[in-house]
Amino acid sequence: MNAITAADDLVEFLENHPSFVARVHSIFPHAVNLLVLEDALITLTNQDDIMPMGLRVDCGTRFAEFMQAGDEIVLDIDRFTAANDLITVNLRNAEVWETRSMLILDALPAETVSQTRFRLMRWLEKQSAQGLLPLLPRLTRQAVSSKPANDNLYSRYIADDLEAFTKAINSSDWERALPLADRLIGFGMGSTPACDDFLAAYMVVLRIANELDPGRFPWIREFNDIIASKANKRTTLISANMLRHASEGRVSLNQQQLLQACLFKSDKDLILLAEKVLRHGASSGGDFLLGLVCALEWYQNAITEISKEGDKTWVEYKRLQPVPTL
Amino acid sequence: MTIHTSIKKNAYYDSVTLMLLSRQLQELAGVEDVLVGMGTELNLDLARDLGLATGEFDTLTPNDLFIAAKIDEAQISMKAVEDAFNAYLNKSAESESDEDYQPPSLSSAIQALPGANMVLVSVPGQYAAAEVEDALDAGLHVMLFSDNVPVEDELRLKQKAVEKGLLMMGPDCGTAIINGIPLCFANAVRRGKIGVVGASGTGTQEVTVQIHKLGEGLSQVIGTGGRDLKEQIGGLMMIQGFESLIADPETELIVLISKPPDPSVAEKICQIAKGSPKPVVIDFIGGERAAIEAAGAIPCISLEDAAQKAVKVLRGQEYEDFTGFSLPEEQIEQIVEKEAAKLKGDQTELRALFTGGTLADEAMKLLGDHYDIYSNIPLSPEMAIENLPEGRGHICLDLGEDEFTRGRPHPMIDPQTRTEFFESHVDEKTAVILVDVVLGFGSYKDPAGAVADSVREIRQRLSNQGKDVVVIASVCGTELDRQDLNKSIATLEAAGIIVLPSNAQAVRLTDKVMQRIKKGAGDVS
Amino acid sequence: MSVNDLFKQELKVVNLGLKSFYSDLKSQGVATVQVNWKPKAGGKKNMLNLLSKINKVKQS
Repeated sequence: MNAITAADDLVEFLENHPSFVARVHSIFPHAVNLLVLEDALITLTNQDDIMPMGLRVDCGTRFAEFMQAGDEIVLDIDRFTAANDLITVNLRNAEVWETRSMLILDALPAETVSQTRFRLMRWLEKQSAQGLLPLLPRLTRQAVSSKPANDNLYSRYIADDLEAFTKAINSSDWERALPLADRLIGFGMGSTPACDDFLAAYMVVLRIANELDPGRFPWIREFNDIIASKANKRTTLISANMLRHASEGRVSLNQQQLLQACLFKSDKDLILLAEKVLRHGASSGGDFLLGLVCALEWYQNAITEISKEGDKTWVEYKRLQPVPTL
Repeated sequence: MTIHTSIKKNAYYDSVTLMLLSRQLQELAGVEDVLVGMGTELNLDLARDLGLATGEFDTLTPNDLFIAAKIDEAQISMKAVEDAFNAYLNKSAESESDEDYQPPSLSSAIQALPGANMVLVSVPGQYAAAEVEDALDAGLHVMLFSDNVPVEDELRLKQKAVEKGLLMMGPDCGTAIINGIPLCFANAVRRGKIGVVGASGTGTQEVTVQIHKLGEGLSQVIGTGGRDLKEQIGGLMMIQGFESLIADPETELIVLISKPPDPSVAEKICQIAKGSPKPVVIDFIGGERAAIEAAGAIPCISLEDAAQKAVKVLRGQEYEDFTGFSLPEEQIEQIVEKEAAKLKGDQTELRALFTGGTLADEAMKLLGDHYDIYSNIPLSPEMAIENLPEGRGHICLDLGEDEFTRGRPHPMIDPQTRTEFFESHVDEKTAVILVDVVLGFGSYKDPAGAVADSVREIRQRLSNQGKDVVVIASVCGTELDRQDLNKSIATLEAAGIIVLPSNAQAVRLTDKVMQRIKKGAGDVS
Repeated sequence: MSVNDLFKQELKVVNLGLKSFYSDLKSQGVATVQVNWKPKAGGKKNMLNLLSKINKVKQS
C-alpha cells in the first residue's frame, strides 16, 4: 500500500533511525500503532486524520485483517516492510505534513477568539453529550436550565476535580492547577482516557501562547513537561504519547486545522473543522473540544494581556526618552 | 455478592465501545455493578470508590483493560461475564458498519467495496482524467460527471474503455440509469424493454420520463457525454452503448438521443442501425431525417416524439410525428385566448429560462425561424446573448452553462440562480416566461415551489404597473420521484402557471401565445 | 468485464466527488462507498524531494 501523508516528526525519526525494527502495539479498525524505542508510538491511519509521528496510508481493508499485535515491521525512510514480507508501505510519494506550521500566520485578536469560542460552545451544546461533554455548561459557567440529561458515571465522578482544575488554570494559577491535574491524568474510558484528551487541548493552547510571546508565561514550559512526564506512568501508552506531542505543540491534522481556525487567520469553515474533530475516535473528539473551549477562555485573556502590555510598554518607553530641548 | 476482576493485557478499545459493553454487562442477570476501563490509577480509584476493588488491582498497569464486577454467583459466574464481554466485542467487530468510513483514494475504495463495478467521478475537471484512467485500469466502468476535461483525454480514455469493453460515460455526463438504478441526475422510472443511449442529460431525462408516462419502461439508459458525437471522438460511447443494447436480451427497442452529430459520426451510427435486428428510434435534435430513414431507423421531431414513437413501435402500433397537444384543440385555444388577454400591447418578449441545456436547445429549434432568439447557447453565432440589442428581444438561456455556474451550484440543484434571473430578466415588456421544472435524483427538493414563489413575486411586481405575465412550464418527472410529479404540477398551477405534459408541448403553447399577441396587438386592452 | 456483463450484475458504485450522488445511491439501497478525495499535493513538500535530498547528503 502507499503512504499518502507523513508527519514531519516521523520523517525526522526515520532519517535518524535507518532500518529500525518496530512492533505492532495496538490495532483499531482504521488505525494501527507501532511501538518504537520502548515508549514511542508511530500511528498508521487509513482514514481522514493523521497523528504526530503518523502516516496516512491508502488501504481499503481493515488493518486487523493482516496485522497482529507483536508483528515486526522494518522502518526505512522510503518504505515499511513487515518481517514476513507480506505487507509493504511505500513512502516515496507521501506528502509531508508540517506538524507545527501554524505559528507563521497572524494571530487573531482577543475579541475574535472570544466570538469563535462562543460559536464553538453553542455548536458543542447541541452535540450528543458523550464522555465529558455533559460538563460543558458547568465548566463554562453557563446557567444550567434543567438537570443535565445523558451524563455518565465518569463525568459525574470527575466533575468537581475538572472544575477545580479549569478554574485554577484559567486564572493562570498554575501552581494550584498542577496538583489538580494529578486528579485527572488517566481518568476516563477508552485507550485515551477522557481527561487526557481534555488536558491535551489545554497543553497545546498553552504551548501556542508561549511561542507567541516567549518569556511572558515562563511557567508553561514546565507545566506541560510535568504533565507529560506524569502521564508516562499514570496513563496508557497511547495517551502518554498523545500528551507528550500536545506538550510540544503537536496534535492531529484535524485538530491542528481547528486550532488554526480558532487562533490564526484561516479560510476554512470553523464548524466543519470542529465536526471532523468530534467524529474522531469515539468520544475523544468531544473531550478534546471541551478542553479547547475551556482553554480558549484562558487564551483570550492571555492575548488581551499581551496587547495591553504592548501598549503600556510603548507609553513608558516614550516617557523615558529625554525630551529634546530646543 | 462477590467481587471479581478480569484483566486483559494490552487491549485497546475506544470509549464508546467500552461504554456500550459496560451497559450490556450491567444488564446481565446477576450482575449488580460493573466497571470496564483502562487500569490507570484514577480509574482504579473510581472502581475502589464503587466498591469494586480486589487484590488484583495491584497488578494492573495503565495499559491493561479491567472488568471489575460485583456479581451474585448463584446467578452468574465471572467466567460467564468474561464470555459475554468477548462475545459482545466479536459481534460489534463483525457488524461494525463502516458507514462513515471514507477511504482516501480510489484504490482503497475498491478494496473496501469488493465487487465494485462502477466509479462515479465528479471531482474538478483537471483531476478527473487521472482518476478515470485508474478506474479503467482496474477494470471498472465509469460515469464521468465532471466537465472541463480536455478532449484529448476524453479520446484516449474512451479508446481505452472500448478496448477493454468498458463504459466511459462522459465527460459532462449527467444522466444514466444502469440496471434500473438512477445515477447523478435521473428520474425514477419503471424498468422495461426500451434501452436509451443519450448524449445529453436533460434530453435523456425527458425521454425516459415520457416513456414512463406512456406506461412502458427502461432496460438501460446509457450516457455518453456531450462531446461524444463530434468527429474527434467519433461517437465511441454512443457506438459502445448502442452495440451493448443490441446484444442485451432485456432490450427490445433502442432510442438514441443527441444533438446533430458530425457527419462522419452520424454515418457510422446509421450503419449500425441498418444492421440492427431491433427497432431503432433516433432523435438527432433538429437534425436531418433522410439519413436516419435510409438506415431503416425512425427519426423524430422532438424528445416527446421519440418517446411516443418508441412506445408505439414497441407495441406494434402505427405511429406518426406528434406535433400537437395532449389536450383537445379547443381547450388549447381557450387557454391561448385567456392567457394572451392578460397582456398589454407593449408586452412582446419571450423569456425562456431553462435549467436543462437540451430542453433549451429543443425549445429554440421548435420555435424555429419565426423568432430571433438570443441565447448563451445560440443556434447561430449572431444570436449570441452578447449581441442582444440594448436589452430588447427574445431570450432563451441555459442557466446550467459554465458562465452561470462558476462558484455556485447547478440550477437544478439550487434554484437561486434562476430566481435571480427571474428578478433581473423579466420586466414590463415580457409577455411569456417559459421554464422547465426538472425533478428526480440530484435535483432540488422542491423546484416547483421555487418557481411558483418567483412567479408570484413577478406578478406582484408587474401588478404595480398594472400588468401581468404569461408563464408556461413543463415538469420533467414522474410520480415515483421524491418531489412528486402531481404535487409539483399542483404547486405550479396554484401560481397561475400553465403546465404542459412535455417540453415540446410547452414550447408549442408558447409559440401559439406569442403568435396570438402578435396578431392581436392593439386589439387586447 | 464487458458492458453486457455489467447489465447482469448488482451495481456497486465508488463515488469520487459530490457527496449527494453517494447519498442518493445509499437511499436506494445501492452498495456504495464515498471516497474522501483530495487533490494530490503538487508542488508542496513531499517525500520524493526529501528522499533525493537525503541521497544527495549520503553521497556528499
